[in-house]
Amino acid sequence: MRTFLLRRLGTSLLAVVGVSVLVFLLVHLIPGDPVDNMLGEGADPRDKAALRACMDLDQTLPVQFARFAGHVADGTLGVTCHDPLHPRTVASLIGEALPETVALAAAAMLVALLLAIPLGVAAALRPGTGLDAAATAFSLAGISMPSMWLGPLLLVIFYIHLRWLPGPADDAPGLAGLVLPAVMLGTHLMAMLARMTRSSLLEVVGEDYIRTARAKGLGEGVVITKHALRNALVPVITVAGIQFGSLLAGAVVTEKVFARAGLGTLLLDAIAQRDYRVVQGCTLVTALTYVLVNLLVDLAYGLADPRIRLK
Amino acid sequence: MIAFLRRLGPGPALGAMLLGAFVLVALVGPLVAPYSPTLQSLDHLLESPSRAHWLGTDENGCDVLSEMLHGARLAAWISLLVTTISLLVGIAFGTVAGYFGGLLDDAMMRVVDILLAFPGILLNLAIVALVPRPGAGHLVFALAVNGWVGYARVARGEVLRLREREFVQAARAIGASPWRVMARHVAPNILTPLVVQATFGFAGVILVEASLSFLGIGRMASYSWGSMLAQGTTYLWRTQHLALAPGLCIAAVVLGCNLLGDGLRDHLDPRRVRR
Repeated sequence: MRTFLLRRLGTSLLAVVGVSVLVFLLVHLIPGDPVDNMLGEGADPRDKAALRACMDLDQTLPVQFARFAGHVADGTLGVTCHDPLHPRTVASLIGEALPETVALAAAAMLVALLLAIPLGVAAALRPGTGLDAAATAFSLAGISMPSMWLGPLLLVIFYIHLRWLPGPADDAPGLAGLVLPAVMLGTHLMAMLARMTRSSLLEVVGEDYIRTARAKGLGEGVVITKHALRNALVPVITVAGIQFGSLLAGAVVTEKVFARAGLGTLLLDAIAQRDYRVVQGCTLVTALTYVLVNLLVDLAYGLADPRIRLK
Repeated sequence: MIAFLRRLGPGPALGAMLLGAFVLVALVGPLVAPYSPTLQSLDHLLESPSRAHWLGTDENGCDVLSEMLHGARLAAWISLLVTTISLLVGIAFGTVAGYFGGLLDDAMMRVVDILLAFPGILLNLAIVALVPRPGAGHLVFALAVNGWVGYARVARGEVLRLREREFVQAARAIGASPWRVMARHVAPNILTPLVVQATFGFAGVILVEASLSFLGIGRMASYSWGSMLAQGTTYLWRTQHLALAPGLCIAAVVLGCNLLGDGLRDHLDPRRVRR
């Protein structure tokens, strides 16, 4: 268990370092001068020099990286440069935005799991029937539907026409305001998980120990819930966990459609203002969350299934 | 071809037909488009479908059908380029890592791990967004930067399986160089699962490209399907026809890829049949 933990931690640490380097290089790999991109080529040279100094671009590359690493290490992620009169640390901006995005991603995950598991189970228990076909068609539609089309459609139906749920124009919509965005963000994952649940459960139902459970006279409900689902859902939950990071990243489109505050909106604003530090900060934080969630999923998986640890 | 599709079953056949229609539209669409996609007629704004404009007009008075037809070629080009580049890079990378093994394999796979640790769309978005005047080339580059990673993993796994097989050893025994063995004997034999994956990958590229255009990032033309969808959703409270065409077309191509990919995978893996 110890070696497994250490190995896994080592890989994650390496990924974190790699991601940091990649994020740092993002600004430097892009052709053109970042300062020209931000201020325009005809800007006042003094403004350009000030911005260059603020962004450390007047330093050599190793110094720049050392300062970047320093900003990451001290947790501020640097100071924004596009508005010199009101400098803010990137970390404080992210600190305001991140909870919104995490709440959205968590709600989307909940929607995905609550719909996917019953759908997959229903399809797997009646393979080849109309119910199975309907569930399969539903998940295929969910996988193929572009979310940036689904979201606005949901808005038109449930917000504009039916007026059942709050939308972007409402103040403090609370939990109800999370429903439509969560459905938009979670539908793709829901469809994926429903397909996985179905094929995983179908595989498990064919196993010997299920036959044994039936042979010893257990009711079908107990066989399915206690014996089959327990094993069939392990890969489904794992994939769901790993996909949490993708939900955080995918939230950028949802936040745009529903005009919600969050990490995605912060990132898009930063891109519009060409504020590279905030772009770096947002991508870094999302990537770190991604690595952390994957690590937790792996560890939980290792705890639950001793066979994994030995590999 | 038809016999093969029949053997795959109705779902994959439908998928192949959807993709075939997409390729056909991408090839001949711009030639048969009734108007130029950028021709604005300001006295026909946001019109519903009519004789003159089969799919109506957008907020600039452009013919939606013509935009869709030109957009199909754009989408097909970008997805084809990104998928091909990613596939080639992935095969090369995975084959070298798997074939040589050892430290080189370890180091190369860490690169893959790092790129996998990065949420894909954010990396694409950041790259395109930071370029001053993004063009199609930048978009393809941004999408391919992490697009190859999945293929590399699959390729490496397949190479590990093949590495010790007799025909590879035979090639080595008669003195073929490692590069020749990889290019002539190993790589051609690992293609099948990669082609299946590329079918799903193609759909992924269509969706990500549409998302980026939707966010207004890296849009090269007003008639890219993602930009049209973005424009259409802005006017959704007034008229639904604008968002309908691009939304349906993106969904149809992605559905086609998924159906065909599922069918090919089941066909190649007998254990999965009738699941």
